[in-house]
Amino acid sequence: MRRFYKSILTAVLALVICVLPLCSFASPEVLPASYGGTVDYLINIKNPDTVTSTTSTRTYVLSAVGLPGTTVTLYSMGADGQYYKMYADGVALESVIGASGLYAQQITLLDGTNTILVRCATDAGEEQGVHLYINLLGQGFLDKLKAFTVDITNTFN
Amino acid sequence: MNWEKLKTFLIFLFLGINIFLIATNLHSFYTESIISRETVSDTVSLLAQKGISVEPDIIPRSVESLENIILTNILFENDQITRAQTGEQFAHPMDWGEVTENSAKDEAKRAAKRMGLEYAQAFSPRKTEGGIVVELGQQIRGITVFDSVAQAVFANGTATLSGTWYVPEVLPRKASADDSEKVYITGVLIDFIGNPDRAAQTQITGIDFGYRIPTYESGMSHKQVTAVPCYRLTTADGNRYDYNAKTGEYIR
Amino acid sequence: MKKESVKTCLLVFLVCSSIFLTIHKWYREKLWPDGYNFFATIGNHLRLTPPLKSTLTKESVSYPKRITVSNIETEKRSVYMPDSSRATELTAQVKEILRNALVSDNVTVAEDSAQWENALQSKSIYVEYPVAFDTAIFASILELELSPTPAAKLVREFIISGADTVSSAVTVYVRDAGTGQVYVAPVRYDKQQLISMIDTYATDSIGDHRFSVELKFNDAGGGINDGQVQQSVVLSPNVLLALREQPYPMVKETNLLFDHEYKEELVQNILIAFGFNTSGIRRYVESDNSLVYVENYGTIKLHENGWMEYRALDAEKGFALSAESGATQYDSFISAIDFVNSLWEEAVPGIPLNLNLSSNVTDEKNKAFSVYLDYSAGGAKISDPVSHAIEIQIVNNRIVSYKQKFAYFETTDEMARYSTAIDAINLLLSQQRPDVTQINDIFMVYDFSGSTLWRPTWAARTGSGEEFVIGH
Repeated sequence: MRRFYKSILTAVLALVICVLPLCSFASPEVLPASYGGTVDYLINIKNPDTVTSTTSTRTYVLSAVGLPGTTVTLYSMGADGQYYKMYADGVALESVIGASGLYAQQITLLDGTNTILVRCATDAGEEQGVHLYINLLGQGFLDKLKAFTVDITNTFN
Repeated sequence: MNWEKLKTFLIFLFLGINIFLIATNLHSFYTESIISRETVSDTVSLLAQKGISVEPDIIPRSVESLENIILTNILFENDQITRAQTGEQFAHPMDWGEVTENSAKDEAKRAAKRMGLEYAQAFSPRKTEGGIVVELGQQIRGITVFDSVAQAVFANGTATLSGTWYVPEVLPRKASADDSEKVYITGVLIDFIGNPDRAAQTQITGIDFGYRIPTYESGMSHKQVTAVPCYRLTTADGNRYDYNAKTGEYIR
Repeated sequence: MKKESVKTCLLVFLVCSSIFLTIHKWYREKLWPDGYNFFATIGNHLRLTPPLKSTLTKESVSYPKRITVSNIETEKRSVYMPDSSRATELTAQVKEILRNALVSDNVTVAEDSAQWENALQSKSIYVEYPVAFDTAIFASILELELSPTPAAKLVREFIISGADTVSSAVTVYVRDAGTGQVYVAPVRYDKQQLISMIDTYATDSIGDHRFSVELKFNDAGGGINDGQVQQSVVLSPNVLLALREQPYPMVKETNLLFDHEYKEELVQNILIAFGFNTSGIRRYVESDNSLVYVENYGTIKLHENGWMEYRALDAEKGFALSAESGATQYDSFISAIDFVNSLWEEAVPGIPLNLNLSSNVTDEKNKAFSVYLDYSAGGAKISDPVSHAIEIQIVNNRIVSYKQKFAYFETTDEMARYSTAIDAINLLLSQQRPDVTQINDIFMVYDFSGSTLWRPTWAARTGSGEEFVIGH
C-alpha cells in the first residue's frame, strides 16, 4: 500500500514539475502599475506614436511592429491602480506576432484617459512593457471644436 | 361543271409537267456532273504546254461527291495490337502456319481479318530474304483509304503485320446535293500546273480517288481523325500529289 | 366513288411533285441575281440569332474591384465588392462623380502624399479598379461625351472626399497609376448628397477594416520605440487590412464543356462563333481525348477540363474583330470584349457571365496586344494559377489566339472562414516569400480547394507588381 501511494505521489510531483514551466509562460491576469519588463527591443508601438496621445475615435486600433514569436497582451488600468488583462467577447486580447512582425488590435476606448499596458514576452523569458495614455475626446468637446473652427472661418470671411 | 373530266385533264397536265421537270433536272445533273470530252482534251492540251503529260483516258469524267469521314486508329480500337516503337503504327506478330507465294494473298487477308484490320485488300506478294511479303491496302465500299497501309511478312511460322490502319466510325456516304462543294478533276489538274513540289517536266501516270487524312501535327497520337475525299495524282517519278476533292486544296 | 378518290389523290400527288421539282430546279440553278438568295434571306430572318449586347460588356468592364465607404465621425466603414445589389446602386452614383472629375477644369497637383492619405482617413469613398486604364479609354468606357482633360494618364484609384467642412465643394483625388502623382479635382456635385451617400453606405464598424496609413504600417520608421525593432515589410498607405476573421461562401465550379462527354451543342456554337464551316470541318481526337477542329485558317482545341483554345494559322488569317479599317487599339479592345460576351451568349445562353479585367487597358497605339480576364463569384476573382480564364492575343484587329475555360462559378451555402489580413501576410512571409519587403495591395480571391470547390483566401500584390495567392 505504501508503495502504491509512493508511486502516486511521484507521478503527481513529476506532472507538477512538467507543468510548472508551462505555467510560467501564461501571461498573468493582473500586473502592477510599475511593470516595466526586462528589455526594450521586443516591440515598437506605431499607433499611437507617442506615449501620451489624444483621439476622437472610440473604436481604436493599436498597431505595432515586433519581433516574430513575441506574445503581446493588452492590459488596462483598473480603479485600484493595477493593470488587468483586457478581454473582448470573452477572449483575451493576446496574440503572437507572426513572420511579418506586424501587430494590430482593436480596442474600445472609454471617455477620458485610457491607461493601457502593452506587455510583450518571448519563450526565452524576455519581457517588455510599454505604458500608453490615450485620451478619448468626448463628442461634446468635438462639437465645440467644430463650432469654434466655423466661427473662426466666418470671422475671416 | 364536270369535275371528273376536269380532274382527268389536270392529272394529264401535271403528269406532263412532272415528266418535263424530271427530264430537265436529269439533263442538268448529267451536264453538270459529267465532264465533257472537249473539256478533257482542252485540259490535256493546256497541261502539255506547261510540261505535264497525261493520257486523256486516265482522267475520270465523273466522280461521286462524298462526305468527310471519321476514322479511328486501330491501336485505340484494339488494345491487343502491339504498338510500334514510334508514332501511330503497329507491328504485331502472330503465330502462323506455312505460307507459299501462291497462297500469300489469301493468308494475308486472313491475318488482317484476325487482327481486326477491316476492309483489307492484299496485293503484290513477293519473296524476299526476310520472308514472303504482301502489301495490304484498305477499300471501303470500293473507295481507297490512302493512309491505311500495312504489310504482312510471313517467315518461320510467324506472320508479322505492321503499318498504319484505321477503322471507319461511319461508312462513306454521298454529300448533300450542292455542287459548290465538289471540285472536278480538270480543275485539280489545272491547279497542278502551279504545284511548287512538282518537277518542271513530268508525266501523270495515275489518277485515283480515295480518302486521305490531312496531317495535323499536335505532338500527340491521334485517336480519331477526319479523312477527306481526295484525288491522288501519281507521276512517273513515283511522287504523289493529293488534292481535296471538296475544296481543291493541295494536301501536303 | 372509289375511282374518284384515287384520281383526287393522284392529282394532289402530281401537284405537290411539280411544286417540289420546280423549287429544286429553281434552287439548283439559282434563278436570282448574284449575291441574292431568296431562301437564304428567309432563312436568316427565321433563324433566332441573339443580338450583341455591347452595352452590357462596357458595364462589366467598368465595374470597380472594391469600394470602401468611410465615415470617421460615426466610426463606420463598409467595403463593397461588385457582386452585391447595393454595390450596383452605389457604383452608379460613384460613376457620376468620377465622370465629373475627369472633366474638371481646376485640377491641381497635390502638394504631397499627405493629401491622399488624409483623404483616405476621413469621410470618403475610396474606389479601386482591378486594373489600370488609360484615362482616355476609361472616359470612353464611362460613356463620357466631353473630351476629358486628364492630368493623370493612367487611372486605377480614386478618393471622393467630403471631408472639407469649410468648403462646400466635393473633391476627387486621382492617383496616376504610372507615376504615383496625386491630382486634386474639385467637382460640381451636391455635397449634401455625397454626405448622405456616405452615411447610407458606411454601416459597419470602422475597427473591422483599417488602412495601412491609419496603422502607420506605410512607414518603416517612427513609433514610440523607433529604431528598436526593424519593420521588415512596408504596406502602401491604401492597403486595406481586414482585422477580423470573416465567414465567406465557398464557390462551386461547373464544367460547361464536358460532362462524361463533350456537349455537342456547345461545341457547335463555339465553332460557328469563330466562323468555322461545320459541315466540312476536319476533326481529330487526341490520345488525351482532347478534340481538335482544323480549318484552313485556324484550329480550335477543346479539352475535357473545360478549356477551349483557338489558334490562327498566322496573324493575317486570324478571326477579324470588325470590318472597319483603321481600327484603333481601343476599338479592337472593345470589339474583343463584345466578342467574349457574344461568344458566351451563343455558346451557353442563359448562364450569367461574371468577368473582371486582369490586364491593364492602355493605349500604346499597338497593333498587337493582349487582353486577360478572370471569372468572379461573390465579388472576388477566381484565381487559377495555371492561366487567366480568358486570354486573347490581338494583332491588327484580328484575334490570333483565344483561350477560355468554359466554366461557371457560383457561391454555395458552405461557408469558410478566411483569416485576418495580417495573418495572411504572416503566412506569405513565413512559407512562400520571405524576401517580400513591400506590399501594395491585399485582396480576396478564390483559390482551388480540390474537386469542384474553390475557397476564399487572400492574395497580395508586392512592390514589384507580382501577385501571389496566399495559401492557408
